[in-house]
Amino acid sequence: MIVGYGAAAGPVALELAKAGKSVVALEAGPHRSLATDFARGAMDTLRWHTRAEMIDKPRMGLTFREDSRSVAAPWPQGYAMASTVGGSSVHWSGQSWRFYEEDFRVASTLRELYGDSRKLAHLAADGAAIEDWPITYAEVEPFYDKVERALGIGGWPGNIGGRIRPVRPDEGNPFESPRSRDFPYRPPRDNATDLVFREGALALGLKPFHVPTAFVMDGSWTSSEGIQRAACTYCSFCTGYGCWNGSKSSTLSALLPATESLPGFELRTGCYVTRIVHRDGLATAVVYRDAHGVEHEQRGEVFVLGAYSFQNVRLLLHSGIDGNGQVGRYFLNRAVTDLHAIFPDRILNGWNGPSVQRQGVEEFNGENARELKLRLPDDQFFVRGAFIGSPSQRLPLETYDVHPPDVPSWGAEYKRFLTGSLNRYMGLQLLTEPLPYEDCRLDLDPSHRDEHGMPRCRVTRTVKQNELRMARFVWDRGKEILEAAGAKRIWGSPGATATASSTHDMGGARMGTDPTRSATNRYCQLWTMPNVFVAGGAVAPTISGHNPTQTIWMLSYWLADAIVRGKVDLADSTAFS
Amino acid sequence: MDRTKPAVITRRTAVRVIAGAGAAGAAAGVGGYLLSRDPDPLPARPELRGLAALTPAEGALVEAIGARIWPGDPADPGAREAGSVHYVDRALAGPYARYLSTYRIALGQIDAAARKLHRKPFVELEESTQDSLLDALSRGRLAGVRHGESFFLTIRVHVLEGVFSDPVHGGNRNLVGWKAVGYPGPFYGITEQEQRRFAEHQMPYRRLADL
Repeated sequence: MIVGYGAAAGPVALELAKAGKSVVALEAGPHRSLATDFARGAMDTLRWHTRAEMIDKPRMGLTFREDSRSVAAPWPQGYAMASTVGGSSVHWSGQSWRFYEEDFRVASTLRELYGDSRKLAHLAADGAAIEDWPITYAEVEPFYDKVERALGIGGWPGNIGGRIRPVRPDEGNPFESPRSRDFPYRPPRDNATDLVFREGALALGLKPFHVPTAFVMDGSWTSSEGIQRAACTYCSFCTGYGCWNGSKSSTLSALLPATESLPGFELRTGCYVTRIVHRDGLATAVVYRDAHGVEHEQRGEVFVLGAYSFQNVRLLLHSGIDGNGQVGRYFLNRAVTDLHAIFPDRILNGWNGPSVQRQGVEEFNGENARELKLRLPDDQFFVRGAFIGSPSQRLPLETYDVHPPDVPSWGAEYKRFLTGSLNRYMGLQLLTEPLPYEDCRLDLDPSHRDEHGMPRCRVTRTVKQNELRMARFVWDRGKEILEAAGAKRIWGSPGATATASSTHDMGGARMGTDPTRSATNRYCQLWTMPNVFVAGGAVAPTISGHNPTQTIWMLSYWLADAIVRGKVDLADSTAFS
Repeated sequence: MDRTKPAVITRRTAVRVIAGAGAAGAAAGVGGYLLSRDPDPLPARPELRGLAALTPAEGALVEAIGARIWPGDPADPGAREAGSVHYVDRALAGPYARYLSTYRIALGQIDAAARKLHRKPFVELEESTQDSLLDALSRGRLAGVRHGESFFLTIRVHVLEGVFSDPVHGGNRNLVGWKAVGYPGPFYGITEQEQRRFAEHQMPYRRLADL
């Protein structure tokens, strides 16, 4: 039984069906496909971006509050969870990273680097609850590799078996952890925005590189599952859109075609799971409503939750599954920090290019900037960092609100600004790494319900000192790159704003070694209900300064492998090997 | 600015309009409705008579507000020339129907405020006067308009959606919204040469219907 057929569910369904298991996947959304939904309508910004057709707000809306004493209000904005076959992997950007070795052991890394330094006092004061993952990069590297081959991830290798930048002297991420072999193909070319960002970064002595991307590039490509797809055409409708060309790697484009023909696999769409039925500490069935509103009960032996973090956590809590009080805790998402610039002398045409056609630098991510950070006064010191990159896909309907604070938001002056500068605009991505805190969590909202009468998922998320200091620091570094590249008018918020959803919404059912301080074991198996597994970002103890999707797929391969090879005991979560 | 001469709505049309507005007003329990206090002939261009959700006079007011949010003239087209009001109207008759009563109430109150302060309907005021009314509205300081600040945010977004969305949705006529910012529209592919031009694009202008 798989609840939700999205990014995280894809590898689980494929691997279990391949192993001869009988797999039923219940997906709340419809089966949108290349042929019927994305062929011509894909490039309609109003439908997919502005009106966010793939997102089911009435049924899956959130409530939000910034501290646990406030009353949460419905979250008016959208969020990343696409309600569609393939889930958010259908409309994601396609920026695809492996987390670093260090990202799996943040607690240990901080101890080793800073010891009990008084520099860390702000973390204790704010209730930071940093734990290592119960798995190591070395253990999961083969599963990252599997994602690159099965889904299709392109990039320049930064580190093959310890050799830094082995392919070309100036390409690849020199900070990445060792990979066992090269990417299957290369990332997109650089567009004007990328070239200008590179100039700035190189002038500062940084090592920019093109980010790894989940798009087929340069001719057609056949995956390890035998699925052939065509190369990206740079049409630039990516983040928020389904790819009409099938070039973007997703559960829909890369995994479903290999899964749907397997005899044990059944996909039911329009099926909204409202409850997990359980008895004597084991799940026995799920209750769901079909597209006609008719309620069904589906029995099963093993239950994998493959919906988005918010929905997985909500379903567990609503079903009364939280034996150890850990479900919903240590929610993580990124605070919003924005940085914008105008290049008066250069026409960049930022609308032309997939959002992930993007150069970036890693010098300020993780603890890569520790020398710089140690020079900061104690009251500015922070741990972890951010990726800084140069996205494109600056379509007018997505970008008309971007203007400096001294330009009014309407009228002649607004129009003069926008018409003169939209094509000279570059906004940087500052992908900061927030920390887990004792009081940041998901739970059931006591007063707001969805259409099915289920309590909404309530998000409690506070921005703490570490996030504010980090935002200030990386904002200044991004500004330096922009200035070095020739930007003249630079604006944005060097602060960090709390949000219900940053599109990277993780934690809430974190994995760990201690059954009293985590929700699942190292194989994503609930400590308190051993035949229930949580796939997806909810199991992440820390979030890394990298986009999480490749790690989410990796974890799904990892947990599927544990089930197929019998590494887990379906009656006892502590008896794994 | 070269504006089309206002047409005149007949007394009978006006009575129907008033009746409709009155019903909505009674339901919402708020006074100050568009047209309800105006004994004079009502301005509206002929093409605004067949709107789906808005009355002709409401359409004219939305158009006039839009023309201050994203101003223009035939040489440098703005929201009026983009036909943004047709986008807004179609949206209010469909996916944005939940905003219709908000529009109806706020538009009536804005027009009433214009008449009270300047003795003329909003659409007949000088642009600078319209700007100062909208400035007050956007700050929530236009007397007689409830929740003006939030309504201004709403109508601003909708007007700009009508400027920058594909013409298939009713606005962005002749692609004037995209042309203003140098965006050629959707293409199935973009070449390397185009991506590294460092100059205005040399692609033809296209819309979804051209694909």
